Amino acid sequence: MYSLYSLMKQEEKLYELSMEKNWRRPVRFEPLFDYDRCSGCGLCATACSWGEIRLIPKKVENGKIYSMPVANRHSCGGCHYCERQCPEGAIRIVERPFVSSHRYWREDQENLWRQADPNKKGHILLISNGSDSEMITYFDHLMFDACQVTNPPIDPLREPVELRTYLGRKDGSSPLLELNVPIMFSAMSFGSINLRVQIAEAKAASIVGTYWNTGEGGLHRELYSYRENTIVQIASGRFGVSPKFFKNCSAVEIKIGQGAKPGIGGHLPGEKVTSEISETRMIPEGTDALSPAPHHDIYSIEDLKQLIFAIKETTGYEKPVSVKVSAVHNIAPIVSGIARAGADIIAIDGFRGGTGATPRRIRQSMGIPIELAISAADKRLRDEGIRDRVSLVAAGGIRNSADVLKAICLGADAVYIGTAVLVALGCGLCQRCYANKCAYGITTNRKDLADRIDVDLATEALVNLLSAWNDEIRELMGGMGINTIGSLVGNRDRLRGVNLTVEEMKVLGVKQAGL
Amino acid sequence: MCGIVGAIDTELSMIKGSDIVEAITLLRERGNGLGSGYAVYGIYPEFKDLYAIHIACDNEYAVQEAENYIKAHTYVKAAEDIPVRNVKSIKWHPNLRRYFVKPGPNNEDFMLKNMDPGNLQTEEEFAEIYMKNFVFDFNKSIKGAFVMSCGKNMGVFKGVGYPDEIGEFYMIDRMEGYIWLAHNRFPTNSQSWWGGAHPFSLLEWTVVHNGEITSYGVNRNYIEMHGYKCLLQTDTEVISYLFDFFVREKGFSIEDTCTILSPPLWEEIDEMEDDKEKKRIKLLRQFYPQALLNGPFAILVSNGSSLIAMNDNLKLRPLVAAKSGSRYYFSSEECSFEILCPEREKTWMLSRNRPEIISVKEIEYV
Repeated sequence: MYSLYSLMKQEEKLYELSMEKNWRRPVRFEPLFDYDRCSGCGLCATACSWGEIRLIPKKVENGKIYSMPVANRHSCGGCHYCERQCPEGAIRIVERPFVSSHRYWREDQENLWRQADPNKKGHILLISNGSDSEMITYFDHLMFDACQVTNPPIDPLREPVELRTYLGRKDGSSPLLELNVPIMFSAMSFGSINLRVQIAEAKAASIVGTYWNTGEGGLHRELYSYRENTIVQIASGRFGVSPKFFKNCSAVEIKIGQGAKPGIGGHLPGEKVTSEISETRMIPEGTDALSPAPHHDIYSIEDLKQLIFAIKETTGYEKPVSVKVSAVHNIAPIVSGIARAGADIIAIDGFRGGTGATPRRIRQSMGIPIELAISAADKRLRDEGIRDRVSLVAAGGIRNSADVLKAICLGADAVYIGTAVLVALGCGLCQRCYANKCAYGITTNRKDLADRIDVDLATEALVNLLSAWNDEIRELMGGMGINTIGSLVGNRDRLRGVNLTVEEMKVLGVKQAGL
Repeated sequence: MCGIVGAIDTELSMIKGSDIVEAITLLRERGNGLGSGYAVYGIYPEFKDLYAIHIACDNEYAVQEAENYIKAHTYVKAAEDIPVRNVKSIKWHPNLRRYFVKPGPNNEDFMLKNMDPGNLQTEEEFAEIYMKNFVFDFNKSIKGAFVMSCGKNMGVFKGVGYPDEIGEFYMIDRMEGYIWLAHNRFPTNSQSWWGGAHPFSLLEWTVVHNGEITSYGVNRNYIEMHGYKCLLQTDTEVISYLFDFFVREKGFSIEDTCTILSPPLWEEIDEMEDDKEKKRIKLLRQFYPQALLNGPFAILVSNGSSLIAMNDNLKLRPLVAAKSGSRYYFSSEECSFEILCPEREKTWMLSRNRPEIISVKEIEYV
């Protein structure tokens, strides 16, 4: 039950909205309330961090005013947080079909309206997460081989099936990273996600025996104790790079590009730079954290080589150096160049890789699928006879354990997962991480929202995720009659393509099913 | 499912071919008549410094082409048809020839001229690399012909048929050698042709294999990256290439190579007490995961001075061993020993990732 005063306040807000210039915003999602079920508790109104739900006096009983939620119909993004919070199950998020008589312009019509909105300055359309375009997902067109008669499948419950993987340059020049599962948590910076999520990642990585990546936002002091399982990232902004940063990690990653935004930098708006973030990133509080598009000391491959060796010298050759690039058309020679420049690990991020914020046009139309990129890179390195000099890590669009194994069969030594981690923590994939309003408390640094993440629960969720995938991968490998993951790296013989063109199968290096 | 038999005499005394034929014929049930073969070491004592090239050609035209190719690339000291008997059940067979050659085109000084002066290669090392490349180029460029074996003082005799038929065909009963490998095939993955029968051979290395290598794709990628070419459509050939690569090219010991191909499980490595051994196995497993052989297999490998018997690390294929004086015998089934060595000192089952490496005396291992 809400007081009349709070209701008046809400009406005021609505009035402000109505003072905006008259402009028809497209409405895509909205919550529908089942008032027969609704008890009027108001939880949904507090739960929604986007200001979509307000309470209005709807029922009068025994002289008391009972308020009921209604939708404002201007800011629902379909994250389903209210729906999942409602104790009565009275909320249903519906998507309104976008009806346009001109089919060709359907999607773009909506975006044009958004872009031309007179209440805002004309702006680049921002979006988060990885590309949701309907382009072919090659993982779905690849099928595994299984053992029948001529060789026995292995039962992972009875026989050992080993997933332990070592990453790094295998000549003794630098230590190797030991992974109990070939899955690592991808780079997500403190700033784009909050510290609680990072702590959960670090804890889960140390329990399972894998690695988590700090992203470009530096390493918060609370995370120093997880140094055995930490990969620190250096991007073009060089945020938080310090002696402590190098001491408290297992490996260093240089980020050249990421799949969701190849070729462009990053921008953390000043209002998100809180005191904690300012301390970790080593920038003044309240200033914008800008990552330039290029590294200003890397304008070609020889500069990258110098940076790699500068890092190796700094760390006394005790930490492997990884280089992360986005999957682009020319990925094969790029990877070969990076391998020859001295990198120990190369991470390739496909166009479905996620991000905190990226221009929509870039996300939807730059880069190439990871399946093709990893296969091309692996083939090129083998052709040049340098495949055992580096380890390859596939990232971007790994949705489940079968994707992990398919990526490995196409040539990756291990994979990075990012979006899958967020989804495991609740994320509804509303693609508005840039807004700092995440209702699940994942991609926000607002204290009230971030508190919605329970670190212990989140850790447990991530450990569960990895152990479930671990078991699934072991089942798949058992069916294929393979008891160690190393025997699958680049083993395209155990994949067949369905419904692919000859050219696509050539790049993937797989045969047509039935052959 | 295939049957394999191996025998070695560490004192270099000769083992009769007729015994081997009888022993592998006893495992008839393990094959289906689509391939069998024998490898024997010590059969060409009169040519023991020359490479004995056994080739099989589909037709007269291929014979001519192969002969021209061999003459163009090697110095041929002797050449002849491999003598065969007519066997009723073998309706067709390729033209089988053998050449005893020195590396280098018709020129005895070729070796000295072509050896890289800055390199520390010995003449022998150079000759081996030359012959290896010769075999790959031959198999690739001559259509309808392939090299069965090309080692010194050894030969591979194989074809499509039951082991008794192939033994009869090649007159194995008249041969003697100090190391024997024999194979009875039940092909599952590749079609049966004369080149697909075991043993597979490269230089001195010879392999017979019972099982299937599920990691073949990775192993092939790895070995092709290092200049080998897999052209015989069968997973077994990578085993001989891997042995050749690690032992000859990289200079690893046979023991290390066996560890790379079939290492202990990680949990076993973690629990090892001997730190030095633990470090050795861990490093080999970390560095060469692509060379690890996965899937069920029992293999016998020989290089003319050792016989190596090895199982996969889950022990999914049978392999038993027996010792009788200076002779060691290996077989898929114990019944073979009743023919090879009815009175034996010891019979034992090979355990997983404990390879048996039996070396002959006197010949120093290169």
